[in-house]
Amino acid sequence: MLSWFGTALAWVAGIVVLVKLFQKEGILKGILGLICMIYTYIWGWMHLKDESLNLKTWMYIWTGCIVLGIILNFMNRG
Amino acid sequence: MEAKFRQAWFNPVFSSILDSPPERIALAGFGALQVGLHMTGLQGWACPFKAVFGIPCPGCGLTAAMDQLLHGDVDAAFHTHAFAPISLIAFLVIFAAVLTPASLRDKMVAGINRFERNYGMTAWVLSALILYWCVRLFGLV
Repeated sequence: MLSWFGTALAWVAGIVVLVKLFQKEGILKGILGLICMIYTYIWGWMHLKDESLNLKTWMYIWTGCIVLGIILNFMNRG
Repeated sequence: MEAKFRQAWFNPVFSSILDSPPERIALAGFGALQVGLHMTGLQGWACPFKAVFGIPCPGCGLTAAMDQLLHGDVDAAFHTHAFAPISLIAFLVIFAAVLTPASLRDKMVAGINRFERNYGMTAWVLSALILYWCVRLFGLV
């Protein structure tokens, strides 16, 4: 349940960053971000200080969910 | 309208990534980590679309396909994702941009930039990838 909630929250954060990527960089980079979400994640961290994009909260949520996912993954293995 | 479309279609996306040091280094690092984790049987970056909805995104399967391609299993790689060779070439170019000296890199980036501006290479590849995704979703391949 916690794992699914974390994944869903990560998805929401990812979509918010992806929408901002589409708006800022245009359709081609947006599609690239859709295909390769790692690129969206990198782009989000690179533009963290851009106040107009307001990415900080979403990037922290996204990263937190990824870390939570890794911890839960290890706990399930153990 | 047509001018806007042309501008978007011939926008040099790949060369702009190669030209940006943090983007090319981060992509090369994350790419190597992702394929490396998959090769060792560990879970890498899970696709958020597939995890939430169970529907694969257009790029789903590319890591596994690149892993198969690197092991020389061309048939399996094509079966997993037909764009594996293009993705592998793109990653090799990113690695080359990270590792080569600035003078050589600038020439390479300028060449790719010209190619994108003249032929809309990235737009064609991404459009074909979206089309391939639709075909796969409907189970036609």
